[in-house]
Amino acid sequence: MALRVLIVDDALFMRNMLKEIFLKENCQVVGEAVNGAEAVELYRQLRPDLVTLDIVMPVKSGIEALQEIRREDPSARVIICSAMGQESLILQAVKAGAQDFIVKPFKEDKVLEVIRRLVSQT
Amino acid sequence: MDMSKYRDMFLFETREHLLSMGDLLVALEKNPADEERLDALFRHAHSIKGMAGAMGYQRTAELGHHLEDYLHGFRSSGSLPREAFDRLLAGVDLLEQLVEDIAAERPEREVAAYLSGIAAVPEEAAVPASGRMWPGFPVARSKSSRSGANCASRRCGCAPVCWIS
Repeated sequence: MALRVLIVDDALFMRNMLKEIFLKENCQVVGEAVNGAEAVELYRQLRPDLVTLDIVMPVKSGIEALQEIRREDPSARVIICSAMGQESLILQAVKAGAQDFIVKPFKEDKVLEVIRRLVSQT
Repeated sequence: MDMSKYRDMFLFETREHLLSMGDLLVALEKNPADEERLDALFRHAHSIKGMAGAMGYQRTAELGHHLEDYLHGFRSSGSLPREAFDRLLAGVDLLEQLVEDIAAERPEREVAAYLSGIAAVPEEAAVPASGRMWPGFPVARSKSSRSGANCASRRCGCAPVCWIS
């Protein structure tokens, strides 16, 4: 069965890039959110198998969204997508329960590596 | 991944970010302690850095990163000091010019002078006696620049735009 994915990023450009990668990997992108608040709401509605979460976003940050999602569903699988130079935020996200992270600008094979690693763990 | 199909999207989104940055700077000039707007300004610079990096537009990414770092320093103090405005406006203008370079499929222009702080030189000092601006000088403002247009009402007393035709 295809992995159901929720992509969260305030940039359409980044969401589309990730979507292309996920579709190539035969995943199903079930939703897209543009900020942390939408991410939490869509997570509740869709219960995806995997979430890719940007950190720096308007309305609610990725870290706050991650904390809320994990509070509601401690088994939620979240990959953080964050820009280079934000190592402390990535660390904070991992402490808050993120399973893995992708550093932007990302390469397709890096994203695939993280997805496959996560899938193999289930 | 073929990135060329994302070029138009990159240009559209980056221009939107730059317009927002211009608006935010105008608003922040009236209220430099508006933390929400300061955060938003930071996020726009961050987004430009991320998108340009993904597209491989090195100089645009570098300048976006620089502005992000520069703004980050003021987020902890919660206020944008008056002396930061000129540098930020010049940075946004330079980003606009870089975006136009990319749109025109020209190599991205040089940003090293801006990054090294030369752009912090008062604008009048950058304009030679002839009244003609050196091409590519980082304080030059594009004709379409919103921030440049705003300069007329600004207390910094920015000189009118001078262009070598």
